[in-house]
Amino acid sequence: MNKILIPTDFTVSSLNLVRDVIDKQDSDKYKIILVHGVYLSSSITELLFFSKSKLLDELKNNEFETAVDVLRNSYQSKIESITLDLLYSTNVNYLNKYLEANNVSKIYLPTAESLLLPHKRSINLIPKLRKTAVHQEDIEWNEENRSRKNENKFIDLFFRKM
Amino acid sequence: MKIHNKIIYLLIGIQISFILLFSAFIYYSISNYSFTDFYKRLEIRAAITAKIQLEPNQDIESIQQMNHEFLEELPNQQYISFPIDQADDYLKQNENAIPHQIIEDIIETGKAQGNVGSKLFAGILYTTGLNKKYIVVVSAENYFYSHHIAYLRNLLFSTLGFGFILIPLLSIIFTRTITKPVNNIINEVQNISSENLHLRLEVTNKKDSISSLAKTFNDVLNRLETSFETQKNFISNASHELNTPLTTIIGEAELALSRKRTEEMYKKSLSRILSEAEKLDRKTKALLQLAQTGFDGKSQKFEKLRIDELLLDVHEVVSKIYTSSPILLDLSLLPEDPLKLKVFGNSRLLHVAIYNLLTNACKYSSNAPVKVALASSDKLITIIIKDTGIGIPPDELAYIYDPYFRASNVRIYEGYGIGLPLSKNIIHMHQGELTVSSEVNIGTTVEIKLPIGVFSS
Repeated sequence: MNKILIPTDFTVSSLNLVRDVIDKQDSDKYKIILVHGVYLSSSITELLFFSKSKLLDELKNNEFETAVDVLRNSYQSKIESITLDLLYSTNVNYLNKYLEANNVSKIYLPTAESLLLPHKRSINLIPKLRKTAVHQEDIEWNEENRSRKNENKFIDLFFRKM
Repeated sequence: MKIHNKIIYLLIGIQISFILLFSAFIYYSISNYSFTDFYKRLEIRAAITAKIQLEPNQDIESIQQMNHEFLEELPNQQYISFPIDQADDYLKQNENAIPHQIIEDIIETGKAQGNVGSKLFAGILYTTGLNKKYIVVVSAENYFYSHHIAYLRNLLFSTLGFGFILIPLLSIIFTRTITKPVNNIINEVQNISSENLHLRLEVTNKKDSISSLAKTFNDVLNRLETSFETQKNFISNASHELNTPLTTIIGEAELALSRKRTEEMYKKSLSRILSEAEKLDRKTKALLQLAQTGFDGKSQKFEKLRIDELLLDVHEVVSKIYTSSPILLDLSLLPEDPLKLKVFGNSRLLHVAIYNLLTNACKYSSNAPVKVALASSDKLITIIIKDTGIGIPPDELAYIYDPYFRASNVRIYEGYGIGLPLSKNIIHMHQGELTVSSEVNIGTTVEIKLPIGVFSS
């Protein structure tokens, strides 16, 4: 079972990266981890009551979740599972340990400027992910993927190359 | 109004019988109790007076005082006592004074109670300190019986009288309040005729039968309206689509016949007529196909459908009619599992719904390409129809589902304003959702969401 990591910004157009990656594969099933970087709060009360699922709920939205479901259904034979995860630092050691702990075999990265930062504490993981020890591959990010900057629509998943 | 009256009579009957029973029960219990009470009093007096009269004179003073102060003299109170062995003699002498039964009871059980008319007797067998047995009987007129109970009886009768007046009034008011919602529904429904089938009854959030009645009514109206609109839709489609080629044919023929032309020109004219006729033929066939799916008049049956087949069907039909509008299908994200493409629905109606939306996209974009996509998420199937046409002004977006409504920017495009409301009704009937988003001169995107049919097979 191959585990791969793809960064996301919880927009539907960022899921097109997943499509591009999976379309290139022939056989094998993949477990995909979609990660997003976000700093933890510096307030003690927030740290005390911190919950990853709550933070994920804040970041997730209807269109994104529907799009993930659509991907799961249409690539059922190639995708074993899609999970979301958060990373709280850009420290390369931290990233390496995370990748090791999760048995990630490969990471796919678009260009640094392509993903948005939806949360006020969001961070751009891509430059530091490039420095990790795991085997990487670049994916082309087509700026036309976004219907318009900062607009997240379910329809962004479709009509590419049309 | 018959039910209205039935309810009133029933209410009146129940309430009156209840208060009658109630009054009777109270009257009976109280008069019973008054007897028991009175007998007790007589017994007490018998015991005390016996003690005073038959005992040797010790502590009599205090008892006499008690007797005086706390036991008032009952009306016509009489005290009779004699030794037990003189019982027979007494009976022979004073036959009318005490009933025989009482004396026998006293001898047998030690106490007795009885009455002659309104004169009540209570007797005990008293054993003096010197062990002599005496029969002691006290009698009195039952004051309570003669006075208080009469008062109670009159009181009950008068309140019963008031009740007989008040109960029908209250019942009528009550029934009217209860049947008001039903009367409201009747009045509202009378406003709905074939002209304004669009009206619906007001439904509250309460979970009572009146609410479900209103909801059911609205359901029926929905189905009726959909039926009506399906028919109107077909007729409008047919008349419009068939008109254009016919006009062209007629025009061409008239022009060719208007004066003498060369053989070449006649040939050209005829071939143009032929091609228009063929177009007409194709359109007729396509419309017939649509008619078979959308205009049946029979009841609406739901069955298992494959949404991708349905979409492809409609795509074919529309392409034949709007030959110059390219329709691009994006089926790249179809689910691998075909079960996720199954919908529980009515084939004809869904055909009509999607046909209308697709033709709208083609019609209002003047041959610019229309993009259609189909995909399944966890529980929903989504169909997206996106065009780059004239769009809908934002302040008119709220009215697009009103029948016969046409936006202000439709100008040259013909239409009757029935397609979209019909599609929305049909999709709602399938527990789905229709969302339209649009920007003027940029385009319109229509999203249809239908629940995936879950079938146990």
